[in-house]
Amino acid sequence: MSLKDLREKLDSHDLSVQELTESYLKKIKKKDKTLNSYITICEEEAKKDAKAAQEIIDKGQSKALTGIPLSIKDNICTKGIKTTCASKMLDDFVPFYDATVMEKLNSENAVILGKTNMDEFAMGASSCTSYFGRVKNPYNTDCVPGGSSGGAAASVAAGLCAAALGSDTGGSIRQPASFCGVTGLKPTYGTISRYGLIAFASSLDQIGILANSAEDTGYILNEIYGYDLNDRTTSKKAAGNYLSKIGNSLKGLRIGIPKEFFSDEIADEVKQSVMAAAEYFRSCKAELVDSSMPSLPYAVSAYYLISSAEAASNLARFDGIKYGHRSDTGDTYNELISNSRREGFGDEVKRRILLGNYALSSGYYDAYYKNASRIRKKISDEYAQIFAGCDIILTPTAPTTAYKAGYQENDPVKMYLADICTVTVNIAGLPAISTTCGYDSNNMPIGMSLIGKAFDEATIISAADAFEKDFAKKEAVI
Amino acid sequence: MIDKKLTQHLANLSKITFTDEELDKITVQMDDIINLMDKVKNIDSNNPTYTIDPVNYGDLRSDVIAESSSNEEILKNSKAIKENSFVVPKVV
Amino acid sequence: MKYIPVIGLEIHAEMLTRSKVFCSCANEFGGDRNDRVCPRCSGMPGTLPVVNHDAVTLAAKAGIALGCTVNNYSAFDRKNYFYPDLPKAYQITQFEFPICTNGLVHVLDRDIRINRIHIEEDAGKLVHDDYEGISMADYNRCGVPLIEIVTEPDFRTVEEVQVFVEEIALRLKYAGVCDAKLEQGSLRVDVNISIMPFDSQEFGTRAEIKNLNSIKSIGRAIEYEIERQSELLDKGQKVVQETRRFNDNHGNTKALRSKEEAHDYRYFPEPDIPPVYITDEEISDIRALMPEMPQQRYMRYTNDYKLPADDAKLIIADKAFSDFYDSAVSVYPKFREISNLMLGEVNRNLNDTGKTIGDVPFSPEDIAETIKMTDDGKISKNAAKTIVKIMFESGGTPEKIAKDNDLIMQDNSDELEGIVEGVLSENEETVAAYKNGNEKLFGFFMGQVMAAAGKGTNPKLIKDILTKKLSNNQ
Repeated sequence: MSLKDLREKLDSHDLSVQELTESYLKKIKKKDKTLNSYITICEEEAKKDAKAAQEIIDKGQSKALTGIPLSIKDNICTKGIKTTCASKMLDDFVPFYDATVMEKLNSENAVILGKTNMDEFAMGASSCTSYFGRVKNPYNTDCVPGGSSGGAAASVAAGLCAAALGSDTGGSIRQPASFCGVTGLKPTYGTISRYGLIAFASSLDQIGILANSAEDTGYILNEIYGYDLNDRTTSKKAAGNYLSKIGNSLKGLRIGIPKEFFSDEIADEVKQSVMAAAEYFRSCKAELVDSSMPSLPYAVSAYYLISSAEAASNLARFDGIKYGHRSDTGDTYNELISNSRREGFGDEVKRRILLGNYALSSGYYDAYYKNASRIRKKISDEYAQIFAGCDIILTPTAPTTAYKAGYQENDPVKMYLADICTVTVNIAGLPAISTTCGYDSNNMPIGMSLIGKAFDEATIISAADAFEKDFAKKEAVI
Repeated sequence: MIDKKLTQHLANLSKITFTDEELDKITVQMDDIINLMDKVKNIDSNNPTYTIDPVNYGDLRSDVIAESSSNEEILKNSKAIKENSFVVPKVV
Repeated sequence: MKYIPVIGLEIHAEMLTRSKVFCSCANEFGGDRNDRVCPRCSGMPGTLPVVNHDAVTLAAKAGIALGCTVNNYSAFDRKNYFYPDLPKAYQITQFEFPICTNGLVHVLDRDIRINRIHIEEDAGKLVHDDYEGISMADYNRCGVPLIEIVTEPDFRTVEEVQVFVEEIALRLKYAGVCDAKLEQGSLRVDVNISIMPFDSQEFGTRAEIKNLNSIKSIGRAIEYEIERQSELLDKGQKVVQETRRFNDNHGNTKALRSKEEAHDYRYFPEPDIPPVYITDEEISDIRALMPEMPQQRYMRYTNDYKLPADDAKLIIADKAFSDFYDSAVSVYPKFREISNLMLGEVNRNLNDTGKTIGDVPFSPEDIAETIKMTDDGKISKNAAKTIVKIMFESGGTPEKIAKDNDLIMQDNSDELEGIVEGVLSENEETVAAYKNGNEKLFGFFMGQVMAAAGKGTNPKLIKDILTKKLSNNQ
């Protein structure tokens, strides 16, 4: 059921918020022992939220999200509710402030079902680096759900929430959406306030939405976007009306297909499925445009240098002194914080911090951080060039479908290279949506991405929506 | 080429303790990772770097005081407090 | 002296904004520990800095006051290091694109170039407990807006440094940027010093001296350092580049225990704060709002008001005092007389009572009125002093004080003429002596008339009448 339909049902009293919330909580109890998509289930709070929402609906004062049960990625600060980033470091951290998105959700009386599992500090693409254990893919529990918003994607795919908020630094919404067969929207950088999103890489991070459809992602974005006095990297250009182009004909829509995104690194089944989607668009009278991004082979390296440099600095505040894990050992300040960080962070986080400090340290800054910044500029320029000849861009979301847990998480370089399809969007700050465009021979979902011009989410949402309406979706097995 | 000495230096900068064994292991991993990162050295250094669009002076935050948080809130997530302060081993 | 010292300064000044630089906590002093702290300035996860408009304005004003260019484009960077007084483990500062550059300040026949002025945030404070072996972190000062003023190594003498620091402090106060109190730490001076042989062109290795909280200790530290470095060079040893702390009690400097590894601050552009763009028009607007600077005020006092140079300097040295003076002369433009009263009696009472001009229970108008009453012959100059003293003690208007204390001189010319004639006729011989040229005797007549007329008589009036009568009788 779409969020719009759900809204109608609630407003017409066909369904009460309490019933709806209870049914989700019941499903979570039943399924999430297996999936592990939630770190914290907010049963009591959700029931309270539901009651309050119902009263508002009864008064006829409902807003778009009143009473809609959502899950929130556990790197978004929720006042009074544990916010862990799936790390031992923040195992018991309870913020006394809300993220701006939470204030917006609360002001509409949305129901918060819980906080979803993820890769530790959002660093990863498998949701296996969580301190709270790996998340399983609802299409095949042996497989990873992708990451870092793996819990969010799994919670949507398994019907454990109506929709989810995640975050995307290099593909962390789109890739798990692809692996779990749901729709994931990463808005333009600056569209949704990052205030209260525990930073991984500030210049790349963006909160976004995972849902059952493109329309649902736009439905939620309409409520949570906007310039925020608490985050001056938000933009006044964020336009709203994200559903305004739904139902528009695709005729004449120019879709760029950059050839570098269809290289040998991409699995054949994925390529075929995405090209089939391209043919679908052509059949709707859209125009396919050959295009090119020559710098794509440098993108992963530039992305990891910039994101790790920012992460090394952003994560320096976790020293166990003000909050978070504090070691029992360490006679000096230096020893104490070094031990706390040793014990509080997992291996992948440590690798990224070391890499980031390498990229920034004296003698290496110019060769690594600065060159990465040059490549960032070049990739942004190449996107501008491509968009001079088209309206949206079509690429695969990931080189493969979901793989078995344990397959490549211990090979960092292999993991990093698998981000090739998603990182350029963050590098250039553009919006992109991933939706399911097929299934592989093992019935695992295949995702395609539609990339839009800055602040033109409406166009990619409408194109993805058109595709989804003609696509036969397979349900998750769990 | 990343060697153990450099990894140790990075660990010091990062304030993360590693055992000798862990250091050996992560040195090998870091070497692989840096090999991948070395690709960025191929770009011509005449290329401009990336910058964010500036904000206008007039759009900056007005200099108005808002209420601070309570002492209790600020300190509640800390494991060691004394006299309304965060406690660390004595620094010189 | 075989060596020439080469000295540069880094001066941190706390800016007088209402709120902190990246959050809305009050920018104040004192209070309980961790009492003026919010999620942002305590480095809570997920929070973001938001630049205070007035911090940029004040930094630009500082630049204008020191002859700098205010740059249209400035940007923030992170300086990364771990220390318990720095909750984010990085300080937000301006590294590559500072707000102001290329200033020039003239002191004692030397031009001191200002390399740059940039905005940054202050760190918190640590309180040490030796008994328990702990340090306690208080973040109240975290996020207090600072500017750092960096000079070129253009100083060659202690005196130049001292005069420069005083001049900078004064200009920042006048510009309303900083209250510039070295002792309280709202102005902090770090000295970079090296020495080189007289015939050398090449600077030596420098040491950085911290913890200088008075003009005097700046001088002592530099002198100690010149001596220490000279001895090293004389012995053929090398000066080590390091940070040293001045000990005010011992008058020496000691190397700060160097951090375990060399500093590597890993500066990079602050991704949470977009660069700031300020237009030429906005810069002109700020320039137009600049209050009068001390050097301009000095010109006004000496050229327009004809005050002696030393008096002008004395008044200007305390901005509040000088503002008080300006208010007084704006009511009654007797520049010299008001200056004399303020530098004399007012200052004496300030010293005696330990007050500052901001605390006194009377207004500039009251000082103007006191001088006017003297000029009008209502009170004597001595009475003016008495009135100032009483105003210090208990306030009140000069009129009322004069009346209550019987200080009003009567305008009794007719009566006085009679008294004068009486005195002159009683002392004919003396009058004759006076007329024969013994002009000293004038004082004698004054005394006689004063005694006869009684307290409260205007001496000027007596003098006039006496002069008239004595010449009439010729």
